[in-house]
Amino acid sequence: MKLDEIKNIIDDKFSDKIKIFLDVNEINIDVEKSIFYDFCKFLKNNSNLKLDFLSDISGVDYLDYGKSYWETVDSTSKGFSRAHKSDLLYFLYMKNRFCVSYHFLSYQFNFRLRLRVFVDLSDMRVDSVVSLWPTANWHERELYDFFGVIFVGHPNLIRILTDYGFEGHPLRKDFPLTGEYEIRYDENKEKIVREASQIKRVINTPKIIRKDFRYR
Amino acid sequence: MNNIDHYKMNFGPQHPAAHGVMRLVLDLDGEVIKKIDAHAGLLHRSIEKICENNLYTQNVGYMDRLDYVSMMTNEHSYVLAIEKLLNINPPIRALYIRTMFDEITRLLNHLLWLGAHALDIGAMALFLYCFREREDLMDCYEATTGGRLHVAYYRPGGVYRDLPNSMPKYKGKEFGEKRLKELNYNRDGSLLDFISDFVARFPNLVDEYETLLTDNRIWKQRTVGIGVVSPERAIALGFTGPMLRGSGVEWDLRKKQPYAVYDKLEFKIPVGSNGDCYDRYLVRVAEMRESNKIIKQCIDWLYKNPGPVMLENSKITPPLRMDMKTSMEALIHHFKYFSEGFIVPKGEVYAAIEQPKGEFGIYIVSDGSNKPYRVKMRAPSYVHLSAIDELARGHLIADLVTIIGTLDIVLGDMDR
Amino acid sequence: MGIDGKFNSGGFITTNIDKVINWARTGSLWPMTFGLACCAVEMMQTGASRFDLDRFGIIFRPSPRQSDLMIVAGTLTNKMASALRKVYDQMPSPKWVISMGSCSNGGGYYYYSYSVVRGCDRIVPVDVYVPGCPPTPEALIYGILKLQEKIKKTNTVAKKIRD
Repeated sequence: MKLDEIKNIIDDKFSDKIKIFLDVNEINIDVEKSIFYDFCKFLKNNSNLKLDFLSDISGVDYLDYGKSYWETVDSTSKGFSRAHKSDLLYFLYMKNRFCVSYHFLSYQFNFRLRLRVFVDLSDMRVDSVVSLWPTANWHERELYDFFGVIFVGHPNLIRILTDYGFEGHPLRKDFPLTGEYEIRYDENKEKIVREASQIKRVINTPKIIRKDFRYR
Repeated sequence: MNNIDHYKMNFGPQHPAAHGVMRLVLDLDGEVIKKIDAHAGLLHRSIEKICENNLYTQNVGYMDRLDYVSMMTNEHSYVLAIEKLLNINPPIRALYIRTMFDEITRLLNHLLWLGAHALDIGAMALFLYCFREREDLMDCYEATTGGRLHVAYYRPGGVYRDLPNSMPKYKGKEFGEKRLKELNYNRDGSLLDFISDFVARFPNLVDEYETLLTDNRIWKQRTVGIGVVSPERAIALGFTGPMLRGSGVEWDLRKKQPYAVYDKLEFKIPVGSNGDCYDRYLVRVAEMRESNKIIKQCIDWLYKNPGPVMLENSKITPPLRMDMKTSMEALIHHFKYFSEGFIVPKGEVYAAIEQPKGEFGIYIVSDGSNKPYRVKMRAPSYVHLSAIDELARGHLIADLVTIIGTLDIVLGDMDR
Repeated sequence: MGIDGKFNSGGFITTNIDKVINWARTGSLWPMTFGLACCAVEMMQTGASRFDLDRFGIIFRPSPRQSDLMIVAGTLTNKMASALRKVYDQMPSPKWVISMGSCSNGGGYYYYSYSVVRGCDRIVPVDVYVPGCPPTPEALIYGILKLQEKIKKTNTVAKKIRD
């Protein structure tokens, strides 16, 4: 399925609120939150697209996108310049911090599609698609657990992969890798206790961003 | 009538038939299951967050440990995603080696599945037979990469090393001459000779396993009609792999969206009809035979076509060790490659392969740096376990064990 | 001298009863299946056809009440820790613990993660640590033999008399 065919199939009532483009030979559609559920219904029921298989729902936190650790511009008494400055232009483009991306696959027409919805900390609600694709149940629970995105209409939105009584959303960029607590067994109290995490993350290889014009 | 509450029981984290650490809270009415609440996350090691802090090549080791019974296929998916972003193609010999090891991994997975499933249901002898074959295949892994289980063999740009010319042999005076000759009869040549001997023996072994189970009255009573899924419901629930093919949907990523060299090889896709546990068993056993054929074709090609196994692009792949010791540029490339890593351009990609359990996909978001910004693994076991409530309602606890076996879940894959 | 020397270290008859008890214990260590992650697959390979564990008298028991050894094989996470301690408490003494693989030795490959216990010895006392990722079956058998040596040094009936 080519991009032009899909552009023709999508109704006019949607085409000014979505952005459809090709990236790394994959079809991406960016959708606004307001028409998201209607657009999904359209994708599922349209007999020319037949997107009846939802393979994955994932989340991305764009807080640190384009930031690198090394900021020197030219040589000074302290060192040489090794990397470019962080790409602030792309970062400002992402007005919303979180993104929920849906990956669809059509068995009949054999093509894949990616749908992205952007949310921000001020309003983390997205409509749930469990009524359209039942497989979204656990994927949305995982996204609530890791990022804090709230799916309106989900039957059972509780934590799934993290500990019982865990607080916080681990995959956000401001949550530390080593976590907030660690556990051990206390012989005197005869139960498992939580203590503040005492290890420090040692970074061996800093993150570096370079503009390499040989690729794409 | 009084409302009697259902009895809640823990099919706990530590259980001999639970295939790892997974907790199911069952609502029982007598022995019949009314509702299941599955608790995942008992093996959640936050691999996704760890991968964001490592270089691209350092993450290959973490991919092995996701689904720890089919190791190299996870690496394949990750490496395919990076190659798509970089827009490079590995040399053809590397693709054939990858295909061959993918199918060897499929055999490893299905043999462990068969042994464990039969053990749970009660046929204990099959466990030892299947593990005997697994030992031979792990010898292949060890001869090529040095590791029996976790290998880190696939790299972006090809595979790390070519296949070896000799196999390790049994040694020791306590065996005696005659016994040593018996043990080493297939280890005199290179790795390809060893695998071709295995491939010649394997169909007879699968026939042995089938005589034990396929027409067995007890096996049929335990598996026919259990956990039935219709094709439409299977697609809606997100099943992939043998779970989907057992219900009649003919979908296999190796044929429909081919990667590596699957479009050049001849093999068939077995499809079931009823969607119950017995059909899925038959589908997986037939897949073992097809994998055998694929391995044979790969070996025939690999014998005739020597060549490089790693791309010769010095910014993406490390230089040869000998060159590093003699050439200045190779030394600089080696230093920068292993300390800073290579840069992957900005973009997002989703790459999926046909893992033995289903469709394993990796979604990489890159911001133009040497570390991935976000790595998400789409695990087939996660999706399959989410459907256990629907599959097991109305069945007995003994059938629950059969259903868990047929879902083929591995907790490392599920919890990541 | 002969028998006089034995009185200081516990007595002639009690040390030999101890030897019989230790021989019985090391000859039939029954572990409980506590495979958590990848090391469980290598543990299964050790118990299977090529590296047979049955020749050491080791039979895997599914219930903690009938076993005297626990092989913690795999990564221990925060969510699983209370279950591990409960199962350990349910085992009757004398009991031993082998920590198999680098994840249960000390956090291992996932040391910096927020949800992993950095070593199962934070939860249960460990007797033998088997390193590896995963340890080969030969390494696990070596670990079990070391545990047998450790058991042979323990005194049950005899007590050391200090002067």
